[in-house]
Amino acid sequence: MYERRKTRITWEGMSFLAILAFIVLGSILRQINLLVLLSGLMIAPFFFNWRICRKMLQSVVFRRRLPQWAHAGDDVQVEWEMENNRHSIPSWEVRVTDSINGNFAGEEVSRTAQVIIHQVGPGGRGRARYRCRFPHRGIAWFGPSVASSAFPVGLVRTRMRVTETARLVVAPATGTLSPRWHRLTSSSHEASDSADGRRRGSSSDEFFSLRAWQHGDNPRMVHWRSSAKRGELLVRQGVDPVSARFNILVDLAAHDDATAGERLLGMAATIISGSSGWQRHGARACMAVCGCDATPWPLVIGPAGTLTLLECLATVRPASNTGVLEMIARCRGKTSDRVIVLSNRAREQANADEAVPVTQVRAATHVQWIDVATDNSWFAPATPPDEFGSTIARPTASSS
Amino acid sequence: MKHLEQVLRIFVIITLCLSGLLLGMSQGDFQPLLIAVISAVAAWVLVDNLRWFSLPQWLANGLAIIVTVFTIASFLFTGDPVRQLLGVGKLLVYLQSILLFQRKSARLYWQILVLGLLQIVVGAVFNLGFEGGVLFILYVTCGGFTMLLLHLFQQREIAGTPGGTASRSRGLHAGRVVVSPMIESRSRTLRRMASHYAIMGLGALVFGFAWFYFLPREHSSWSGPVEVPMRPAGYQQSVSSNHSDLIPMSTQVVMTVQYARARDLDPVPLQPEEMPCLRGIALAGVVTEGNATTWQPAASQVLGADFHPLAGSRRWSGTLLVQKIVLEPTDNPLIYSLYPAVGIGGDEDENIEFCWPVGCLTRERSGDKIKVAHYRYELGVVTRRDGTAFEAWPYQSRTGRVPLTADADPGVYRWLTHLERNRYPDIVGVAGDIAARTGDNHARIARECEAWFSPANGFSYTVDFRSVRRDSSIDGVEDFFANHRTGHCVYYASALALMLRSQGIPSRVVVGYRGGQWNDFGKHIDVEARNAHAWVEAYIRPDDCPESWRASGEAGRLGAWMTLDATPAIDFDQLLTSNALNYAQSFWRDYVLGLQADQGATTISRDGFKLSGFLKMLDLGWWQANVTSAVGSVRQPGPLRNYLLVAVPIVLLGIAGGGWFWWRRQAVRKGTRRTRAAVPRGFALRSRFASLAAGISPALARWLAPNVAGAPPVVPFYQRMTKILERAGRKRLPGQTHLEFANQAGRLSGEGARSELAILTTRITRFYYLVRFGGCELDENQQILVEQSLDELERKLAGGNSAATTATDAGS
Repeated sequence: MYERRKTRITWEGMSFLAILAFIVLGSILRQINLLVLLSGLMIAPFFFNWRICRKMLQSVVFRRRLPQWAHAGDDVQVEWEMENNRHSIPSWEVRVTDSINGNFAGEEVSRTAQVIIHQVGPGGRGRARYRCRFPHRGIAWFGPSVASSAFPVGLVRTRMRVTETARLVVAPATGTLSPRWHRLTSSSHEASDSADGRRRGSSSDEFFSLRAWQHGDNPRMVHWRSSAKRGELLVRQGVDPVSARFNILVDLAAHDDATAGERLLGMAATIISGSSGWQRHGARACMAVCGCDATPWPLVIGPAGTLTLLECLATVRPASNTGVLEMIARCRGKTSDRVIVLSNRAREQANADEAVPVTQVRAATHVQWIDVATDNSWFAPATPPDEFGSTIARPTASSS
Repeated sequence: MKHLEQVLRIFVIITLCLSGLLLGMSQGDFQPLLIAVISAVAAWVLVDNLRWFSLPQWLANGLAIIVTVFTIASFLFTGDPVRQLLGVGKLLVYLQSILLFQRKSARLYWQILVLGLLQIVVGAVFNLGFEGGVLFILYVTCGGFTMLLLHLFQQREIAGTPGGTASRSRGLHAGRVVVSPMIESRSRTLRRMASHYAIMGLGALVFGFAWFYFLPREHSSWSGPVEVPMRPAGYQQSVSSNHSDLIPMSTQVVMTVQYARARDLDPVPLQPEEMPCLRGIALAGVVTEGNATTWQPAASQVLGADFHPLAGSRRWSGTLLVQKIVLEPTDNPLIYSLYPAVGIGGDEDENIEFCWPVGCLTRERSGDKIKVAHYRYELGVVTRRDGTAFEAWPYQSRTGRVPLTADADPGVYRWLTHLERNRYPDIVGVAGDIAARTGDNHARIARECEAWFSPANGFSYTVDFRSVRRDSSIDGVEDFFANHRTGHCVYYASALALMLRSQGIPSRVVVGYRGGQWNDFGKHIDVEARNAHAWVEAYIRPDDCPESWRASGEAGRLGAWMTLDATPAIDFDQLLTSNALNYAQSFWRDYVLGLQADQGATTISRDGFKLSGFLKMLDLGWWQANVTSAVGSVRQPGPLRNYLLVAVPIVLLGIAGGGWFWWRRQAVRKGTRRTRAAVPRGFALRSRFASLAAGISPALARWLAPNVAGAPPVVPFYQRMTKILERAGRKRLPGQTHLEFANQAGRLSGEGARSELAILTTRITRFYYLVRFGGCELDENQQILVEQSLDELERKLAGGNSAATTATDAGS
């Protein structure tokens, strides 16, 4: 996890050393006592800086915390926590330089971000956060990182490599689904209307289960009595999801207009991110992504499959033969026979591109084909951000 | 960040002022200080705060080049290293001023500090007195703290800058980093850091001084300054009775003097009345110009350079003392001594020369050390058996074994009796009356003339002529003698010498130092600039010398130089007490600036590496000898015994108290619940100490009373909530529990106890209970929830207040 600490003299330290050497030489050659004293008083901070900054990184543990996935254009908060396991000496001004690498929209990106953990008392923990924003979908790799300290005077810097890495799935940017989509999906889970009564009850004392509190949960959903018993924050969970109602196939075909494909993926990501709403209503759906590096079969949209689906949306590339028709065939009996195909090509084009005609599978399943490239009435993508940092969030960090 | 930078700026200004002051003090020129202060303050106001302008980098670089070229050109070709160093010092100040007027970054601050440090280096090469030493330590402390602040500033500057290789316009923009402040306030963090820095700074000082004393030195004289500004008083080779209004009485130490029975024995303490007259040079030539009489050395005009090695020991009927003198650095070759002085047979004698005709001791002129070091020398001096100084010392003639008479040595005689009689009518007249009354014995005439300057005749001593009414139409000495009769030693000596000359007695004015302060710490006399003095030497014919002089050796076959001092006693009693400042000054002078190779802990001698000084304490024999000596001293009544009687009980009590504190502290750390509960009762006093100490150093307070200091413990998020509520006008009442307060405070007018605000405040309070009384730590999710609740509370209350304000405005 950690490599050996290495100590380097900083640029300031080099200039300081040059002056020190000049003074020591001058004092010895000219036999001037005051210069000897001055050299001693200059050696002292250098020596102390070396010992202290090495001590700062001794017996400490670093942890990085970040979400498993995020959407392109969203702010991602990365938190570094430092635990000081020493008994008496606090850690001051420890700088963590995090490296962020990834391939986004065909471009290899390598960036660094730095945070400073100001003070961590003996046996305590300190945190610092930074935010980053990814304009395009992809996978971001965080780490390895470098923790360093030059406290107190910055003449010598001790570095320690933290080899721990983390992965962030940057899913396509979300947008707004049109009422037409909602009408389409509501017709797919009419049966869940009967659950309305239970939905209404979900805001009252009745609930299906409890789960651990997650960032973003409504604080009013915290179940205090159970939290007190279990010693951790628990929130009330809605009703039990009923069986699935429909399948969604994302067909990312090679297309001259790349934005159409991105819009398609954005719509899929929006459906997944908004799934908690209709899941609470009791509906359930499966989704499959067809394209290069696509999902092998439809996955249930839910806590278990969300990450896989978003990862697939983050990495999928367009293909001329996406195998969407085979996937339609596989969907038969998976959840229900109803299939909604989201595609960036027309049905006829797919029929021509694919080996199996669409008409053959239409008989077996009820297929609704939505061509996102030509029909903008289903989904409106969000305006892409210009530059990161236009909004700087109120910083929050803590130490204990 | 802004707050930090402002503190940094202030410390940079302080550091610059200190470095400028030190440079100015060392060079005796305060122009650098003036420039540094003006530019630092102007830049702080105009560039940093008002932001009216700032020098662009190209302009600053151009200015720096121009200033460097012009400054270097002014001193580079002078060939005088001192002028070159002075020029370098000024150049550093100019460059620093240019940098100050640029927009600041961490690197620019560093460059400014480096230039300040280089100024200190230049200043340290020159002479720094004790006051300079204090400023030097202050600069080091301040500079270190400035470096600490600069490091913090740099950390924040770097953390706020994105890094990486991606293009700015496309791809990932992950570099915009937002760094969070801590929940606890910044000032508290800085205060804690400052207390830690204080400990580190102390360690650095100890380390620095240890390095200083343990650095091996060769057997040669080490020193402080390269060159010092001349001190006029006492070193003057001419004195004048012009009409100066006020003579400053400087307390700057010129030399230190010790007297011992033998070279290896301890110095003899001297009482104020036993302070010696340290003779410098004799001034035999009189030059009159305007209304001033000026005395000059006659050696070059009359006698030429006629130096002989210092004579060896002679047979004196008195006590031989070893006189050890340390002269402050000066390029003046004169050295001072009680007379008569003899060599003591050491190697140092070879470096000292003596001019018998004018009685002037000089040191070797060759070699750089005449300028760069404290000059130490030892001479044998002879006093009477009762310890008082001799009245005279034998005359030796350059021209042969002849007395100083008009017939035998007319040239020298004429010079030593030269006088413009019509210029000093009163002096000549009074001297003639005295001579007519006394007879033909020169020794008696001289004594009578000396006695004439008594308070009974209206003579008084002053260095301040502002209230003295003087007649500028006549000579200053004649005016002094005939009219106001108020003056200092130069007037008395001039008048006496002129009186003697008017009676045909060869005489001359002698300058040197009289008196000083006994320094109990260094066991020596501190001779200061204000102790500069002038007196008279009169030649007494062999026939007129008393028998006692011949018996004691004061008079020779050719006569004697009789010492006469007409100046009344100066009341220095209030100045003759030793104090802590003297000790500190002595320490700085003897153990820092003037530390010699054999005084340090380690030396390099011809025999190889040798440990001495502090390391001598590792020798058991050294301890045995010192303890025996100390016990012997304690048995005898004296100041040491008194000190010990007071100090030992205090130290023992301190050790006992410290041990008790330590033991109780250990009990608190390891103790059971019962011990912990019992601690606060027994620790009331300690808690007060701790709360007092918390103002200086929280760490010290925690060490003093880990359970008591700072109680009740501060829970930052609850503190924040109370502040938010306070801003909204809700404060906890005495006797109200935290939960009651939360319920009440969260209640808005017209709403019930379960309002949204009440839910928030109650929730935060419950977490506070967990932390404060349950000893729990909040996990990550709980902390986030608390933060969210606090933000929401703040938002709601701010909204409520603004709504209330709007309603009020509408109502009005």
